[in-house]
Amino acid sequence: MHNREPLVEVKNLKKYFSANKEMFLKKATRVVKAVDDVSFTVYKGETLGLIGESGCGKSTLLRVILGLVAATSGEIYYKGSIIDKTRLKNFRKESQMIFQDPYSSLDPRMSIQRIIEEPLRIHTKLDRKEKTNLVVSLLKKTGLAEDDLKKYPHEFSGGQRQRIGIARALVMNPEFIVCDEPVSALDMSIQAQILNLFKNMQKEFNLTYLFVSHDMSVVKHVSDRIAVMYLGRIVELATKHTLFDNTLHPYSVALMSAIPIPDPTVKKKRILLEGDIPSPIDTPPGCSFHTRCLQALPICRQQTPPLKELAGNHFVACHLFGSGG
Amino acid sequence: MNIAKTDIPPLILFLIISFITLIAFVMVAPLLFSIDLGATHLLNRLLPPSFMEKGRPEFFLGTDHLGRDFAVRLLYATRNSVVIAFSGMAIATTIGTLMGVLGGLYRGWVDTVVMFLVDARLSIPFIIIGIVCASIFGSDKITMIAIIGFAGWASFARLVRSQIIQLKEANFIECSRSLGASNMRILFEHIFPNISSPLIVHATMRLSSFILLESSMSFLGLGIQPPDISLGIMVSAGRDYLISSWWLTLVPSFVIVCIVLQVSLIGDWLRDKLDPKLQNNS
Amino acid sequence: MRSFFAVCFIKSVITIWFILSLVFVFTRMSGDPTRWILPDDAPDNVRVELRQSLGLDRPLSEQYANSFLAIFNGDMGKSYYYLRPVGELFAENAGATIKLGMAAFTVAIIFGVPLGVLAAVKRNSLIDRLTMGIAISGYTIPDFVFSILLVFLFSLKLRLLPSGGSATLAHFIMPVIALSVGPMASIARLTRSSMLDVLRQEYLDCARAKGVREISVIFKHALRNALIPVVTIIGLQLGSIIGGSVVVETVFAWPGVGSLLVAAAKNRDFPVIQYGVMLISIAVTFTNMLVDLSYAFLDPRIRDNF
Repeated sequence: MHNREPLVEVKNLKKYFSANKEMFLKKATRVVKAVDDVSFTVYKGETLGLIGESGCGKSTLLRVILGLVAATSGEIYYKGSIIDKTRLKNFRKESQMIFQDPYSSLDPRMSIQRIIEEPLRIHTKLDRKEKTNLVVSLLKKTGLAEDDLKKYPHEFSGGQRQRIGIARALVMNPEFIVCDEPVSALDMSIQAQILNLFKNMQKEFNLTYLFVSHDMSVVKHVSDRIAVMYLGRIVELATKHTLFDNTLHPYSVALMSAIPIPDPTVKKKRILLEGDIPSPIDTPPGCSFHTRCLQALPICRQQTPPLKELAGNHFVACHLFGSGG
Repeated sequence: MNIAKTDIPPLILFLIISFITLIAFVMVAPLLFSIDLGATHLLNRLLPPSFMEKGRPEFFLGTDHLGRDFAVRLLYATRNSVVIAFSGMAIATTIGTLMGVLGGLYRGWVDTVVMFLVDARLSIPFIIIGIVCASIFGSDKITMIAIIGFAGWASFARLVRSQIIQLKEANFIECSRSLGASNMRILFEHIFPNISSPLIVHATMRLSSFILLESSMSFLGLGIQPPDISLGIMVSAGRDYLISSWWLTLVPSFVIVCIVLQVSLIGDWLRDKLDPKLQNNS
Repeated sequence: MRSFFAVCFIKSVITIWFILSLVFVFTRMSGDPTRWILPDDAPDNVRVELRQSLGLDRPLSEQYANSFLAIFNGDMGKSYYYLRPVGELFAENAGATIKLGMAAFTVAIIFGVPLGVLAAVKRNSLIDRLTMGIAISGYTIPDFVFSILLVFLFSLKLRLLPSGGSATLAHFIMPVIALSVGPMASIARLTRSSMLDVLRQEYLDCARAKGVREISVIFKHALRNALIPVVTIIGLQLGSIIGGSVVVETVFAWPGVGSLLVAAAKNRDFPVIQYGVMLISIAVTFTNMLVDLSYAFLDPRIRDNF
């Protein structure tokens, strides 16, 4: 098992955007709560999966964690110390991001060599030969060839481009990698290959992943622990097995029921959520899920349930399971 | 850039080669044919080209109304027009790129100011600006270059700005930022290479309008002044003799049209060639 | 919609103010205009008198304010060269230019749009190549060259039309043609490419599948959408026509505002220049504003955003 040493800790993170333009004197009054008080810990060596529908704030959360977008409030800790301006550069050396769209995450005007080399150019003073050697070794590890050094992104397929992105992420030998739906844009057959590459790299480089996806089967495949996100809040967080064997939050239950089971004889009760996802602007008071929840209690309309730890590292934010406050 | 691998249609190749040859030739002209632009030789007025009757072999294209060698004047005139247009373009591109970068990168009030200046400039026709500037600052070579440079930047700024605004949101820019790249590094390593193609195409197109501006203003008598020479001046000077010595006006006119046509066609081809929509086809 | 209009309007006003201020600053910066009017050895008292009569001895702030008030009370001072009120000069010459400009504008639209449509519908045919040829000559051949060519052909060689002046209708024809070619080329080109874009769209195939006749497809469905960008470029031709009129009027000795401005530039006649810039910037800025508004009006996608 993993040693329970926290690598990245997120505490009460909030990111609010203003929803309407400021015209002359009218100030922005409507707020989008993209990330609304999120806290969790990522332990060294594990893969924490983060699942949620489009628009639930997962991408924003990732960008706040990496410092690409400033948080409205809250803190992020790396190896025990809070990340402030001085520590940000160091954090950037040791943490990397892999993006969703392989077609736009590589500069079309740069050769593969220059793309993968970029972190080395920014953070190190290695000479040309050393850089090239590193790049070549990573190319080979991610399943590409030395010949590809001088080629350009448009000469590669989506799956190959994602490999290039992975090589770039690994060239600085990072500790922490944030993956924003890295396989969503790929064909099904390629997805499996890339996911396996992720697993192999994790073993070889001793990596810690924060893996985001909207596809439950993908998250199930790669994660050790899984966090479920809805409208900017974490609603459930548990180890993979606990989550699947003992799903608690009504939203998580609905998500599970949507996973196709490859056995035609098994009859599954599919839970269809009624209603639309409420807009993240002007979120309803109380629990963010109560408008679609089949088991909503009166208190759910009034009080937002906090993320509480139940037995065995299983966290839920739901009035059905807590003592309500 | 992998332009070496692409094939250039023969017409375009011909145009490019002829354009470069023309430029090279006129730039070198002063070394080959020296001339005193102010001198007049009234005894030799209005001789026709050497291959027409009454023409003389030592004046290849005849002489103008003041007896000066027409062919050599044509060379110098072309040279002046080309030098002015290119110099002006260099200034306009620099200023325009700078303004566009400021507006596109920093947005906010800087952008508002930049866009305001661009719109204000573009609301007056180019030649009117030229006329106004000529009336205030006088007319000579340097003023022409300054007018082109300081009035011609607006469309560059607009282009660079809109390209940068689009690019800023591109994933690979965000990527570089997440890797820790500074703004300067992103600007030089990522943004500039990606905007270079549209910028080159635009510069080519604008070159023709700069050449046209200079010739029009010189034609009106508000551009280059005699004894200095330009194609516009030659066209204007030859008008009085249109009936008898029509080449005095029509040949410089033809040269202007040829140059502008070459530049425009090359620019059109470049624009189609570098169209990103046709490139990222995987 | 109202706030959009207000913003557009205010922006236009500020733009005009900025341009006029800039011109004012530059003209005052360039030194004493009496240098160009009087000979160098003119006695000082004559110079002082002239400056007084031209209003140049007033404090700068007063001159500045006056140059704006002139928009409303029409008193822009006197031309340095003609020593007559500037407004009068413009009133005399404006008519000729407006006549020329409107005729050129009309010709450009009447010929430009149908040519563009035809060229798009009969792509790669003779008419298409002809249109593209005209379009290319429109922006390659400068106005003054084209004008001289017209004079050469029709006045000198064919002796059909007079080469200068403005007395009769015959004098009118060539300047109009010369002035309209540039805008006509732009309009035809844009109409063609806009039609081509629209003709490719799928909703036309939908109409065809419904059984609508081809002519109706072209006119009712395609043209309406294709014309939206064309309308905006038509509005933008005003600048082209103003610029072109300067040259065309000079070549054909057409007594309009364009020739007035060129003469004023040579004579360093600042009041005339300032007045001209004021008229031109007002005309072009407000036309652009109208174009912006009409664009928002015509395109339902933009309209609904407000």
